Amino acid sequence: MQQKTTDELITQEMLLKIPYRWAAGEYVGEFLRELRHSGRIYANKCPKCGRFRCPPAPVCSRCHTRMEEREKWVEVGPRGTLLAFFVAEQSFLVPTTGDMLEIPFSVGVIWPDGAPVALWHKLEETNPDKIKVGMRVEAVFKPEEQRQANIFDILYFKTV
Amino acid sequence: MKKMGQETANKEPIVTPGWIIMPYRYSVGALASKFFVELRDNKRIIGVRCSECNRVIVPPRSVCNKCFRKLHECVELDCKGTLLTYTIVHYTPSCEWLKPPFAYGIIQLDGADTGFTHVLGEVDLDNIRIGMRVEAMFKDKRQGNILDIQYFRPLAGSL
Amino acid sequence: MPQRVAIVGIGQTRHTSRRPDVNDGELINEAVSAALADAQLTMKDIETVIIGNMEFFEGHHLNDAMLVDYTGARGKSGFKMNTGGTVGTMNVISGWYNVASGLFDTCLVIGWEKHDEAPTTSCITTITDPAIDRPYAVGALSGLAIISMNYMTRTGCKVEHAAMVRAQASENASRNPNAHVRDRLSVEDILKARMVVYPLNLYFLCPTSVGACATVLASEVKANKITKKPVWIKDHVTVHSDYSGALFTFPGETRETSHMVAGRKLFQRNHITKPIREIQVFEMYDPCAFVQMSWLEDFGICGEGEGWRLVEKGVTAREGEFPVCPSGGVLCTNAIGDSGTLRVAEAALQIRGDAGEHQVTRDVKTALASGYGGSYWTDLLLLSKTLD
Repeated sequence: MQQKTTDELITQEMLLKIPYRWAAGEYVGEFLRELRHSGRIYANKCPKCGRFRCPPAPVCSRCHTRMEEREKWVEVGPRGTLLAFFVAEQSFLVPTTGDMLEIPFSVGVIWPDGAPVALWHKLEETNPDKIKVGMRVEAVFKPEEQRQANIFDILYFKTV
Repeated sequence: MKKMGQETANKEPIVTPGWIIMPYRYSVGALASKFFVELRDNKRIIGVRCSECNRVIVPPRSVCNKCFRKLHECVELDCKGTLLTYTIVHYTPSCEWLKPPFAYGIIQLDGADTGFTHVLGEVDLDNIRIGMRVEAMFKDKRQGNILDIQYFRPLAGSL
Repeated sequence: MPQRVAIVGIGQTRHTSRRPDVNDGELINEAVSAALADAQLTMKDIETVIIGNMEFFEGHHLNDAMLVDYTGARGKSGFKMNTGGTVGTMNVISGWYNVASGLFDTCLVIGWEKHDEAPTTSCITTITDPAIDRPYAVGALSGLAIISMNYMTRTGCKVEHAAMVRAQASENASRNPNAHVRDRLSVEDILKARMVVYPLNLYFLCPTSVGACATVLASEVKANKITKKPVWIKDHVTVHSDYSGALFTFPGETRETSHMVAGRKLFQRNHITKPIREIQVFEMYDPCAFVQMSWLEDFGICGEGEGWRLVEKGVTAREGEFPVCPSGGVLCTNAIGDSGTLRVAEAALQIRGDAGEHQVTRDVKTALASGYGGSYWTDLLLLSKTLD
């Protein structure tokens, strides 16, 4: 057959849409239960080297000691200090929903009072000129009856 | 002190349902574009010849998997072939588009040296035979993808 | 004792935003053909093949099987790497293990990515913990924004310094025919770019590119027979972070990032006390203008707070005393799976004196290459012209 040149380049479009079910596990599960049940944020502490983890973790990644004691859980927050932040001003596809990210979308890295840990969460303020590293913020929870033991039980952190 | 296992033993595990939703665009490449354009526009199947190995590969690939040479020589193939093997699917995975039970198999098109995977149609699922002669049936509305061939059906007289 | 391993062949494709004319395998085959040609070898001479990219980025899971025709791996040993931004350097390190073990004398290493096939930032978001962080991540951009903001807070670095880094990268890329974004940019152009994820504007971030890079590794026994200019992989270090501490040091803790540990280990082991004087080039994995400065400090090239000062003084320019990313780096070209392999390849080209117009002006005897990514570990490699 005579070789024909074709200028047309075919690109095929497809959509990957896969449902998942992720087990939070024993420690993160308990952390989420506490968000729902008591409206409190918890960290746990390594009994050997004293390093904190939030959400709580089963083993200290610094000294490899088990952190099994439930009573050693420490409440942190609801207030904290902002260590860093970003504000998305360009929208991107959100893979968990297939929708485009609503912008501006601002997220802070927050040091909650009570333990040297860092939590990522949404900030209420989206104007970068009004957000300062070092400013004080506070977690705003959903009303108890709306909480579902997921990270959205905290709606966002507001500027204090 | 109460350990975590004791604390959480009777509590309901927390499971987060979610999705991964991602659109993709797959560029088939210049050579495979010829293959898909021929399916769509002319209801023709083309392969590519490796003159070194004296083999015809379909669907066409631009590198020979045996001798690693680059391949350019396109060859028109018949739409008929021989069924090499097959299976019948009885369940519905979440991404499947066909209703079970359905059959698909690997077909050696006349003139080709490789297998061509596709769905079998207009066929009695209890009477499929390896070695059966089959022919490609094209859709009326084609888009330049492998499903422009709707299925392979047994050639008349081959059942 | 491990066998000593050299890079004896290098090939890369041009890098660009879209390549609708090739599928994944054909793209890879361009780099493979170029590397084999550079080494003057054929696929028959290759004993094992290592290939890596970012899983999922092209919409195929376990794509190495469908790529076997194009990589030449059929019938051979080897495996697929899949380690995020580090995959490029891990490809090379994995190849090193294959040859250093004494089991193989030649290894083909391939890094590649075809970013025009999927929404990259969305894919990267899926590396995060689905229960806790995923809703608050914007791909790699959010992590880079946090690191950048923290760097400015800690050291007094200004956005103008990041703009200088980017301007310098653009000058280098303009001399590299295989780089992706090659426009020469001024500091003013860069500062005016639109904001993507504050504080990172478009030019502070790397592009998403389509490209592939392949290198041929050989044992000492074979290397000197294959080429007159082997580049020796003298040493390499891989160091992991924990997920929660990867991007951020907890308050009250002493900073100890994986980059810091990697630099310390590699330099101590090789008796390098002043890397800025003893090493001539650094092809750093720099996905963002701020991190280039921060990571010069973390790797131990300079002290804390001095990274941006080095840039200000022109030390890291192509003609400077310690050139960083003379190829333009990841800031100008980022096909993620290929980026780390390309850092090693570009550092090797500098040692060989084959980098053309983007060759540094100093004579290069040793070079560094690094990798980092969402796998949260650091790879650092030391390349050398000679075996001693």
